[in-house]
Amino acid sequence: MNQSNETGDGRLDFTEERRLIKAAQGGCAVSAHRLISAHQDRLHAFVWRMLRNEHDTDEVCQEAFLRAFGALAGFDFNYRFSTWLFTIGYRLCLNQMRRRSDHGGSIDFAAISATRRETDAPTDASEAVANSDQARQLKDAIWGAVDDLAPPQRATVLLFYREQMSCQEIGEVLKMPAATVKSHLHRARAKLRENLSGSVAEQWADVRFNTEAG
Amino acid sequence: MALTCRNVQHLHDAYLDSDLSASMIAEVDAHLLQCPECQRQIDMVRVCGNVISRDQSEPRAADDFAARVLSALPRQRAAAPAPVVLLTRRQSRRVVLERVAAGFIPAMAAMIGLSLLVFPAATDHSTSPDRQVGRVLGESATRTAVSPTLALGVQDIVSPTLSSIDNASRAVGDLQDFAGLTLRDAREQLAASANPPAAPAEDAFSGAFLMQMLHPLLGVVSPVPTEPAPAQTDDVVRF
Ligand SMILES: [Zn+2]
Repeated sequence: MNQSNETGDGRLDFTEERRLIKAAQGGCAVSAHRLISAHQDRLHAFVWRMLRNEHDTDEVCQEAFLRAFGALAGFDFNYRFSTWLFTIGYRLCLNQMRRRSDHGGSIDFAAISATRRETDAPTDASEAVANSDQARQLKDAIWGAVDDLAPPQRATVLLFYREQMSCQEIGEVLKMPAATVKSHLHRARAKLRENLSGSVAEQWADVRFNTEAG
Repeated sequence: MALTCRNVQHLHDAYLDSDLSASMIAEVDAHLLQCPECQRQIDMVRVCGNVISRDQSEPRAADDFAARVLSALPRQRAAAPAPVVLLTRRQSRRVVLERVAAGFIPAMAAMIGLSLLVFPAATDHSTSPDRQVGRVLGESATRTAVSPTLALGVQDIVSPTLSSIDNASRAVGDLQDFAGLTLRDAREQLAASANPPAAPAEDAFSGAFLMQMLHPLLGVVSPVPTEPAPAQTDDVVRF
């Protein structure tokens, strides 16, 4: 009956989030646990898309939460917890990428394709259309194109579509003006279109991925 | 005038993000209906958006992720200040009392504990301590066949010391009574605060917390058995 404190996709509503942050500020571990649970998969997905490495992702996510809680006393209630968390997470991702390139490391493509096959298992029965082989190829092509985007563009696209953040909010996360975010989004879309031209995506442009589409 | 493909390309983002006026949307729609190339480009970006927002095929965070984060956070120590929660005036008074008790009672208990160690026989302060000590000395004198004069001599020497000890032990006794009263009050208040009628469980730990801190103390000063401190104190984290 009292399910109104979470929205349909398990996200906390603003009031509940405020209450949990205040309780966590007072040392309430139960509230801290709920804050973590409500955000862990979202942050994990974002960081994994940025880094494409499971081990680094886990480390960065843990560090992001520890930093967020370490500074929770000064939390500004004008922001969402997620905005703050993703800001920290994004900065840690950039540091991690820098460290990786300093060490001459590169993305393990074999590991990526293995992970992708393994994790591409259908998660939702309502995506019947998207479970066909062609749809899987389409998804692979699209995620491949997303992987090819420069980090700020990739982050913009992920935060815009997955997190449904406004350009203003994305600007807060990426530490850039909303106008710059807009141009990142524009260039990202152009690049996606360009990279997907001639691929399977062209024949499957009308695939619908959810029941509410159309 | 109808939009050209170039015009539509410029309006792509605004069209996709619904940043256009209704009349402009109608213009773009009209173009898309008779231009498969522009329609295909729009569709492609739309499908990308759908996949990115809804194809959640990324690995999820590990099952123990939240627990690991929590355990990596510094734990709240017994000496840490009680968390600040919004309180009514009556509750605030209670919290002030609790905090005073939290600081004052352990200090007092330490004193009492120390006195009990130093003067183990002085707990019954209605009996003169030098009489007790004299009796003990007398018994030991009998047992070890030491002459009574020697025992008396010893008593003369220790007597002034003993009378000052007597005073001290009276003071300790008074203190003990006072501590007993204060602790009883504190315990009653804590018992009330540990189970506030309708407060959420997570707000209850400040009482439980104090209770645990006082727990060994209550055992020392008064024989009243106390319920074990809730394990909830383990769940307190400090940021
Ligand atoms: Zn056209």
